Amino acid sequence: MACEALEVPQSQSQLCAPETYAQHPRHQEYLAELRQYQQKSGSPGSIMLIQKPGESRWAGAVGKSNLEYQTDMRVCDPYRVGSITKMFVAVAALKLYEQNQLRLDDKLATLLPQTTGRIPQAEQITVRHLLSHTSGIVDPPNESIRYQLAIPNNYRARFEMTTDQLLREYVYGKSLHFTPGTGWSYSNANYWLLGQIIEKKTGKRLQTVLNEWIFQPLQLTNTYLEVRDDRNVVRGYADLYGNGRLFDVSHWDRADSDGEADGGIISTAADLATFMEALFGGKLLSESTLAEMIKPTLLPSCPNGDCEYGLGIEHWKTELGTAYGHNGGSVGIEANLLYFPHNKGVFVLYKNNGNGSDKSLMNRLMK
Amino acid sequence: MKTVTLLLLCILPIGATIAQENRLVAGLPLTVSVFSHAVSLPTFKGFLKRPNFGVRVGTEFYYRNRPGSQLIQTLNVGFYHHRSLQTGLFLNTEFGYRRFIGNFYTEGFIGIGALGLSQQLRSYEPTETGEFRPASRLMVRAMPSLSAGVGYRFRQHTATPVSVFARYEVFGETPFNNQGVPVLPHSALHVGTRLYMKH
Repeated sequence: MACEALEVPQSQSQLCAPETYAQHPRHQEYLAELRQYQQKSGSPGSIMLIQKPGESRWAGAVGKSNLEYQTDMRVCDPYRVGSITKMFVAVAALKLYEQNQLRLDDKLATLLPQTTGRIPQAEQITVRHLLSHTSGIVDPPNESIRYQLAIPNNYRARFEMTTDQLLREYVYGKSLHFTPGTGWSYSNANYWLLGQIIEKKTGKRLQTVLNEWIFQPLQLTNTYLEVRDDRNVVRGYADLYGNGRLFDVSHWDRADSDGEADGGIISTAADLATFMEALFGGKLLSESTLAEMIKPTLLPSCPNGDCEYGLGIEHWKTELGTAYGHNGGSVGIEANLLYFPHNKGVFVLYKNNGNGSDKSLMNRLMK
Repeated sequence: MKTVTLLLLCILPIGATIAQENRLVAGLPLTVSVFSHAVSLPTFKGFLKRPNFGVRVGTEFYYRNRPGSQLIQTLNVGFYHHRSLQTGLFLNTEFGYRRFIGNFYTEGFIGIGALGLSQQLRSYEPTETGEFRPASRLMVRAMPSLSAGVGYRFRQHTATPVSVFARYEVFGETPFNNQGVPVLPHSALHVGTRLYMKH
């Protein structure tokens, strides 16, 4: 009976040349907040980046990126961003929209004919529904125990599954949660389908599209979607038994998300901040398209009629007003990327423990 | 500790049963099965693709032993190796019912056990200073189980009947606590034999 190679690899090289933010006037204050966040969340390590007018960009890292080798976390370490990927995919879809290659009311059944008869009401589901999670399509990663157990049971098999296979196994033939457009229900499957639509429209792999349209123009040199054996990526951990013991679940996270349109991007805090700055600075989308992207989804079925989601972008109701961005989570990580319109600030927060966390520190730090 | 106590409580009635059954049967049966193991909800899918193997050995005692049916207490030890998750060594006991229809039978069991695990994933425990140090790969969990099966008995009217059987078992690994799920479900598909050892 053979054993899987579940060894924990050591970082391969010192690609990361950490910038020092020790001269920043609020360095000690920010670092103390980050340490407190890391300790309260029980995470091995954490990274935070703060960018706002009136002061230079600050980034800090505390704790460990790899417990096996007790490797210190560095501000420029690449990490899995989880569902923050959806913002990048939404931008790609909206660039197609700007190029008149895609309309927001184009129908799923027309764009991907193979979904006809397999996804109920595919003839009524639009690109807007997919982008805003109002399609009603099921969300296997969050709803299907069978999906969740398949990863620890055989992570290699999950790693090798194509998006088509994922759809066939977990989405096709499943009832919608509601008639398209009448409700809001977060679903990773919406972005699996959007990834396929973008690939079909462009004739290129999604990773190539993101590379050509976003990563390269913005010089996000530490950001990618394609599957790589990148040993510098921060390891992810989870308290599987609720007893404080953290398991290295990086193999599972990798199997679940690498290369996928719903959560496969690897990036750094600095690259994410640059992306956010460019998005809201008009370097990626026109003003009207950006307005369309952040326009709230309003439905009577949502609390107070506001679903707090635009097109691939979350609306966070903070003490400082509405912030735009996305949270990303998987078994072993949590990542957050937010833009604060009141001061054009960017806030990046990451930890390598997949449990939830209190992020109210942003209210103090982003004033 | 709670697990061990619970297991002992389940096993204690067996002593009385042994004395009772020794008068009725030729000896204690020996049950041996090999099984394919998966971490999954009840399904047959995962067993055929890249199976993980285990073996279980046990015996059984009878609260009631009639020609057409049996009320049973089992005691078993077993081992499985899941190639990407864990290796398990368990001791469990089950209470069950077996119904004979000619030489064929069906059976169902509910059980509890202790499951010793050696995890494949690396794990780390917090220190007093808030750092993490490597933790032991070993842990013990409770193992509730449910199973159902079918079998065929040869040499029915002799003192040493022999059975072959197939059994589907679902067992839990608990406490477990990820995303609010308290039990990690496992499934096992057994094929095995039961024979009697003469006194």
